[in-house]
Amino acid sequence: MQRRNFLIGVSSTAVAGSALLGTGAFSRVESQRNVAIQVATDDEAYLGMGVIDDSLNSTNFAELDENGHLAIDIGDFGAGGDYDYETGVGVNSDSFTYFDDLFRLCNNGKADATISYELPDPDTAGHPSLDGSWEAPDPDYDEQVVTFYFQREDGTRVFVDEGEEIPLELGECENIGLRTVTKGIDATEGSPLLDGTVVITADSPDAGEVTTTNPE
Amino acid sequence: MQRRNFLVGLGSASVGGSALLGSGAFSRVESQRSVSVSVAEDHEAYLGLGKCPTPNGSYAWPDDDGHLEVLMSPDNPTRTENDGDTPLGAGINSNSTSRFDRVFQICNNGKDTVCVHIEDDIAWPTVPETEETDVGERRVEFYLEANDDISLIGEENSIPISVGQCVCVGVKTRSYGLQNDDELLEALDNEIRIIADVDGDCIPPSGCADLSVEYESTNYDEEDDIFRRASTEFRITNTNGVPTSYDLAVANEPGDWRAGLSIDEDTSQTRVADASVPTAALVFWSCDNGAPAGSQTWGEYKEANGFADLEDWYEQTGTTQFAPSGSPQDVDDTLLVVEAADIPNGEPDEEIDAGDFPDMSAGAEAEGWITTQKFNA
Repeated sequence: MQRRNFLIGVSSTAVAGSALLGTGAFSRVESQRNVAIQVATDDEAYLGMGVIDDSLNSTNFAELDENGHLAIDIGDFGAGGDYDYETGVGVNSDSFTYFDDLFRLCNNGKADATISYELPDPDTAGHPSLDGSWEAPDPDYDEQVVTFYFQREDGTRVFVDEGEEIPLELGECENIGLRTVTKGIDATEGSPLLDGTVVITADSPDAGEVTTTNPE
Repeated sequence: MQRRNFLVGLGSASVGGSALLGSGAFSRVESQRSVSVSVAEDHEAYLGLGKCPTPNGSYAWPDDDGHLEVLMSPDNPTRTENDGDTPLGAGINSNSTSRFDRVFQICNNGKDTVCVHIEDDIAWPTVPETEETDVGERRVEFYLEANDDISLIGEENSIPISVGQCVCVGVKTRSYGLQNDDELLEALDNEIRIIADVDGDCIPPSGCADLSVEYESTNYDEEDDIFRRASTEFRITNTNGVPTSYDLAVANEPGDWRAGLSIDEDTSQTRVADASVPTAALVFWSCDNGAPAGSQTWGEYKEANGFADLEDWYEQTGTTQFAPSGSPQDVDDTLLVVEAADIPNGEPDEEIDAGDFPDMSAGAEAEGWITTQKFNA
């Protein structure tokens, strides 16, 4: 198949004192333009999501799968590995468990952004002990059973509830941790606390706003 | 497969006093004169293509030949020009929907208003049925400015660009089921065709009104020291900057149908319906392009709620079981519709003694009914 598009026009050169007034007149233009939109691995994408190499929590429990998607598997990290001790197979019941520096989020886009996350449907992706919400089943606790957090420089953990937005400046990265709260979860069920897809949303409204400076 | 683009301009050729006015598109150039053929770079061509003056303009670049390219890939110069030492990522995320408002702009540097669209293609990739999200939606959508509801793909979505005007185009991507290195428009050889046509037929993408309707208060008429309920005030609110005409349907006691009402942009107004015990209310308005996010057409509403037509809606939602005499059997399925979500249960007092007015009985007021006099007080 071969397609060609021709546009012929008249430039604005003055000839014999009279301008060629037809400058720019055209009746139809068809322009073909390249649009290359490529999928990147999560660590290299505009919303960068990757493993933190110098964090054992991250290298043990987070990985880029064969399709380049960041995945978190807090299960038997020893499965298939070479460990000289009995590795754990999950978080403790009736406990608060913290995984600092589990994965890294980076803003590789074009402007400051806010980040939020959405947990899947607790009825289909959650532990059977849950009752239609991600809140810990034990009535004495109102924490989400799975919560992401980041840490301030002094190590303070700042918990981010589902739907809450946190800022992530352009070019910056934030190490994200995960806390599980298994209060009221029946560990004998043998079911995962969460097995499903978490949606992470980066919103960067300034990227599409007209500025006075030319983009690079 | 080979595709080429030629843009031919006649430079300072020795043409006499007669201007070459009749320029136009054609498929073959054969020139007997000695001419210097100059090819304009995109940004100064008659159909000007360039970066938008936004941060997202970084995703668009002129190639070595001056042709604009959209580069959401490792090849984007913003990423490579500093030896990769820039924050810009190598591409879009997998399993994601991404929106890039205002990436490149199309400018009309010609002499007439043109209709511009991006040519649709039967091979345009969509999200396959094996995915869970956005099945059947385009892998890549091109939309107007920051309005991802207003597609620019297909001749039916042509927009006018007047002389000297530029519009920015946004890019929305859906990468469900794709993986590293996949290219979303590979099936199109990573090419789109932008078409500008002077003879095209297109209307401005003005967007549409965004209406809501709510119960406001109940009107009473006084007769021998007794106030009797007579009609209902509804508040209609338009939160978009586009005026519109609309129709108001109210079910019950008796049902009411008011057609051809109008409302200005970004304002609200009250309308009186004869129904004094309303059980449901709908507002209909038309929208040619740019429906507000989350809006629903009458056709969708009927299907979602099990109504056959407007008459059926009156009969099912009202208790008097028939439609008002002036209402049509049905209205156009493409109209947008919104229902009043806040109509109280029960009914407002049928009569109120003059001594109590404008108070209703405590029970009715607890449900949310209120007299207009009290509401306005």
